Amino acid sequence: MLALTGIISTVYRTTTATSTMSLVKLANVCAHLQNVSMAKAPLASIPYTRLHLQIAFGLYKEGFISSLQRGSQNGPDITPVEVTPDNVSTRRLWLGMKYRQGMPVLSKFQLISKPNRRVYAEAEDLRSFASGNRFRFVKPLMPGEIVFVRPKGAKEVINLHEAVKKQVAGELLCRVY
Amino acid sequence: MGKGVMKFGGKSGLLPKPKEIFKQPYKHQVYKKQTDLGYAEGILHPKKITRDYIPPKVSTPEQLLKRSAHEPVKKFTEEEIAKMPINQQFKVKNAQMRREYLKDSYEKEVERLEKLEKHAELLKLDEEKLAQEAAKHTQSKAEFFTSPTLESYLNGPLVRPRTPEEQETLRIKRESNRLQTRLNVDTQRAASLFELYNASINFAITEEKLEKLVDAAFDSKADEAWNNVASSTPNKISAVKNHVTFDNALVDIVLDNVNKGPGYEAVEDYLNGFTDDIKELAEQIKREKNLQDIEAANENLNKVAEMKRTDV
Repeated sequence: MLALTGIISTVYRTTTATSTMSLVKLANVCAHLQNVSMAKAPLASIPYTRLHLQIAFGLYKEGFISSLQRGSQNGPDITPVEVTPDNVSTRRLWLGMKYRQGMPVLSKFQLISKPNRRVYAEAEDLRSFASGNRFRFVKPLMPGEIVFVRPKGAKEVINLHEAVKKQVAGELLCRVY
Repeated sequence: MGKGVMKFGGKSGLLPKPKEIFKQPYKHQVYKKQTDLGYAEGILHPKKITRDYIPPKVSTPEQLLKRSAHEPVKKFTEEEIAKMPINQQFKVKNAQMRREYLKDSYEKEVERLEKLEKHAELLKLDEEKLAQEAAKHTQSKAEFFTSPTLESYLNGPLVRPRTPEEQETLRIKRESNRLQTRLNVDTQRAASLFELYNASINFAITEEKLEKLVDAAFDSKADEAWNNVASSTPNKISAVKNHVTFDNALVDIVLDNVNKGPGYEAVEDYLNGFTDDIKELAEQIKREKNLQDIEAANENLNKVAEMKRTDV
């Protein structure tokens, strides 16, 4: 029990430092959501971290998922539950998957920047990429495809088009269509 | 399964949908033209199409009865019917019965439809009431200003840090766990120490003791019995002297002895006074039992003396 609380506090310390967090967990989430889509499951749960919450909120805003709820490993919360260092290990985010005419709305969800191959782009590069050009090895955008970007020196995660509007440089995190 | 069953989803024995008894409306209703339907004024409409809705013709149950089951022109009396041939009697009675049944069925259908209508009206009223209440409901200011938004989650800390009280509780809990672990380790060490201390009685710590032990180890008489084990019978083997007998082991367990000496628990009991209490209790029980034995012996003696007296 004591050892567990120690681990929890360590996890908490590492998760708060989003800018240096490894993308391994995000890669797992991408693969999981793709699998859930293919299995036509109504709900998917992902770990409760700031980065995942930001990405899930982005998916919700872009219409890839129908709902976003906080919950535990047992399912979405019926009544709000406060997140404390004692229960943070069991906290999950529950996403409502979307299907139209029997087909998943989210069909592909991949990392661009990887832990061993980070992809950073300047504002000019982002604009070029957003206008349909290839950026380094990253294939051009397809119609309806969304790219999430983490602006340089910021905690937030924004859409590629927002990043172009704001004229910021950043890291290309993942692409969804 | 018959030939035409597949069009019913592979199920046989399905009854057809009941036909409606009244094909047209059975009562007059006030028709109100809806404002958002039909052709607007000034807009032409195609040929052979009515501009306005034509409500269906109403057929009341009375009209239907009059049309299909009106009363006969001539009504026969019972006597007249009795005089008729049997075939005609049957026809007259059959016609009368059919008229009655049709009338009954119309009445019951009207009753049913009115009941349904009433129920639908009640449902509609309930829905309107609910809609009115929902329209009146406004989000309270407290709810509006205090409900967390997703942005507030993202801006603030994701996990609530521990309060000073919680931190203190956790510290006490950890301290308690640490002390408990320490106590367990120390107890184990003390028990091991007693075991070693008791075993040290047999250790050769002087030259004389060593020699004595060496002599004992190489004593040919002691080994004689063991040397003959291979040629011994089971009876002989069981007769070989065994130092650690079952009784001794049992006594060790009961008295918490280790290596023929008092173990940690025995010493702890002695220091706590538990051993003294047990001894005192045992002595008290012994005394009581002695007294009981003496009383029983006296009683027996008295009985014997009494028996002797009666014999005399």
